[in-house]
Amino acid sequence: MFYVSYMLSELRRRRGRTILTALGLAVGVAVVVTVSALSKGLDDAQAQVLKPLTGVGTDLSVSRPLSLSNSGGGPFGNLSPQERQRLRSENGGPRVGLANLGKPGSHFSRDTFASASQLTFAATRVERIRALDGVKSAAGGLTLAAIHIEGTVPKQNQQQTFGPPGTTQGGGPPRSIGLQPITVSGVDQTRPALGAVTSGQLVRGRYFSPSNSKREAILDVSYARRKGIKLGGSVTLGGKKFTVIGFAKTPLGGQASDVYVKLLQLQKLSGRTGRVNTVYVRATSSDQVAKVSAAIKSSFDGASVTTASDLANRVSGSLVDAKNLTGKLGTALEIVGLLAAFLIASLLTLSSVTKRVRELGTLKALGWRQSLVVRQVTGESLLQGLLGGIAGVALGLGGAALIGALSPTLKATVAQAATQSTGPGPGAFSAFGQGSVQAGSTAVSLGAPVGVGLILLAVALAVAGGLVSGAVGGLRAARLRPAEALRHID
Amino acid sequence: MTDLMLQPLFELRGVSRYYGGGTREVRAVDAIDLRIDPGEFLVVAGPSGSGKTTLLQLLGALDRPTEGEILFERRDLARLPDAELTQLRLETIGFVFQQFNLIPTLTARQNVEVALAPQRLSRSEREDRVSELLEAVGLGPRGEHLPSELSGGEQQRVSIARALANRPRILLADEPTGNLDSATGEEIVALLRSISDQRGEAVVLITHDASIAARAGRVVRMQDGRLLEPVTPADLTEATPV
Repeated sequence: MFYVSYMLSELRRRRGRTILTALGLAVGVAVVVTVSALSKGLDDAQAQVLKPLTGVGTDLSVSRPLSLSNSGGGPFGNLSPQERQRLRSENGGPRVGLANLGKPGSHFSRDTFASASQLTFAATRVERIRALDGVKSAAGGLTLAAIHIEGTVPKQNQQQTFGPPGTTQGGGPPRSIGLQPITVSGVDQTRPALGAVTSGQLVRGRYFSPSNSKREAILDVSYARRKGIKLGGSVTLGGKKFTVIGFAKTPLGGQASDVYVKLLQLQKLSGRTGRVNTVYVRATSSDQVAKVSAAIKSSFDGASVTTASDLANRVSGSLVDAKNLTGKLGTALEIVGLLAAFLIASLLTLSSVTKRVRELGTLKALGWRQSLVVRQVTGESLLQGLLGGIAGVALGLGGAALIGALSPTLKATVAQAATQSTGPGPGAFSAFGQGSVQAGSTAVSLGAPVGVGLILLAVALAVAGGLVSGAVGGLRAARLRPAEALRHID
Repeated sequence: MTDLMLQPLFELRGVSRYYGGGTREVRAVDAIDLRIDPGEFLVVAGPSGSGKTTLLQLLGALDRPTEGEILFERRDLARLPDAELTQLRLETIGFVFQQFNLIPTLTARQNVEVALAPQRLSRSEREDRVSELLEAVGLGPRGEHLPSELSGGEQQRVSIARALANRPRILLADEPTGNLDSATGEEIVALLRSISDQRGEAVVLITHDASIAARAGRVVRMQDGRLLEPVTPADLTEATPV
């Protein structure tokens, strides 16, 4: 086709102008590619931080938090009488009266379990949630504060009571009594991908066996280290020995319990048979999460549903700063870069048309229709846009590769959730699940992945730039009167 | 001879072209009456600024008269829309320019092909016609050269081949020898003359070179936008100022 070879000849033989125009567009496109890749890298880094927050495969976590009421009826006025009764029976135990321990000077040992700020509810609720539309799977869980109290009954005020540190009444125990609060979670071992601990979080050992008869425990690796417990060793809960079969690492922001055991065994030990206080839910797809969340809230009075996006708000640090910066400045940079590129390309095309006035006038004199002249100018610009797009993608890939090579480290900090502690326990029960959220910081390496979609977008932008500049140049060419154009002195 | 041959190719009646307005008005062409017959070799002579090029542009449908009628094969060009004027230029008029106006990025072949591009011709038809035209102007072997690789005379030959590409009924040549030495200029005029004689195209050639004007079938002289009294080529000698 003659027109194409004419365009190619123009681009080839006016190399300087072609390179300059294409380069102008390329820089704009490269900015878009690099910033978008950076933005994607930040998204990935954030997702990497957030992934453990949601647990492996858990999209939502349902609990029944205890909220204090300022209205009449006392602090628990918003609870039903049954719930109040249950709260009393579940959390009354940890208040230890010295008079009940035995004679002064005698040795004693006691294990109690408290639900702390979460109310338990019937495990049948898990089945009902599982039956909801959009729910792929659901598993019940029970996270409790287990308090092991051991020591010698002191010879002092026998009326004194005490609880774990952090409780409001009675203060700490006398010096002769040791008190070890730990968090323990009961896990539905038949669903290893859902729960307070999942098979994916194991760093050593194995996951629970399916049988409910074997007493097995998985320990948080830092707890095990702190206590010097080895794999194959044992822990005692409620007077029962559990064999340590694995260590799990609780990632930043994850739900950290010190000990994980099988749900049925914890329910039995703690006197909460048929009760759970968390339901871990996996939706059929991510766009079902909101719907499932609403359905649970409407069918479960007082339920608190936490999704991964709720947790994202608790992440801060340089990662979030960089993400915010990219979100605001990056978009502005992309727009400015593109506009500048379009402007440069348009001005260069306009200048080219001005330099070729007589040539274009000659074409018109030879009988080229206006549309053909405009098409010629626009076609050249489009080809330049395409070249600019390819060069821009190459530059952008270079920029992204550079970011990947430098791999800057960003810090992500997960804050402790605001909690209401009404009873014994570590006082760090989170909104997501019942274990204490692993607050602290982590470092993530920043990459800048460039996908096919981004490459296509970049080329499309460059071609659009070519079109814009071509339209500007074409309009100028269209307006040329042949007689005036031929009089033009180059 | 067909009926068309009996009719004038061009007939200009009171044609004027003014630029500007008020006190700054310039009458580039002023009330010209002129008839051009098919196959005629007409020279328009006159000093610089006398309105020759403007007249040529009016004849070539590149510009519209401010006043008067330009009848081309009985059609008034002043009344035709732009699209029809474009089609008219494509099919019936060939231009030869003083500065050749070749496209510098295209080869000689491609420069001739430029004129054929808007026509619906097959590739082989286009290529055959280009080859034939380049042969006709004596540039057969130079087709793949860029204009910058050709001499002035060769460039003007390419320009003539391009003007002939669509088998026009008239060639309008604006100072075609202006950028050439006299020997080459004479060759170009001879070429135009022979084309006119052999193919029957009318030629309107603008020049201020008396020796070239002397080769014309008819000469009209312009001064300040107006046509002076008719002269014959025999009246002109090389020393005659035109």
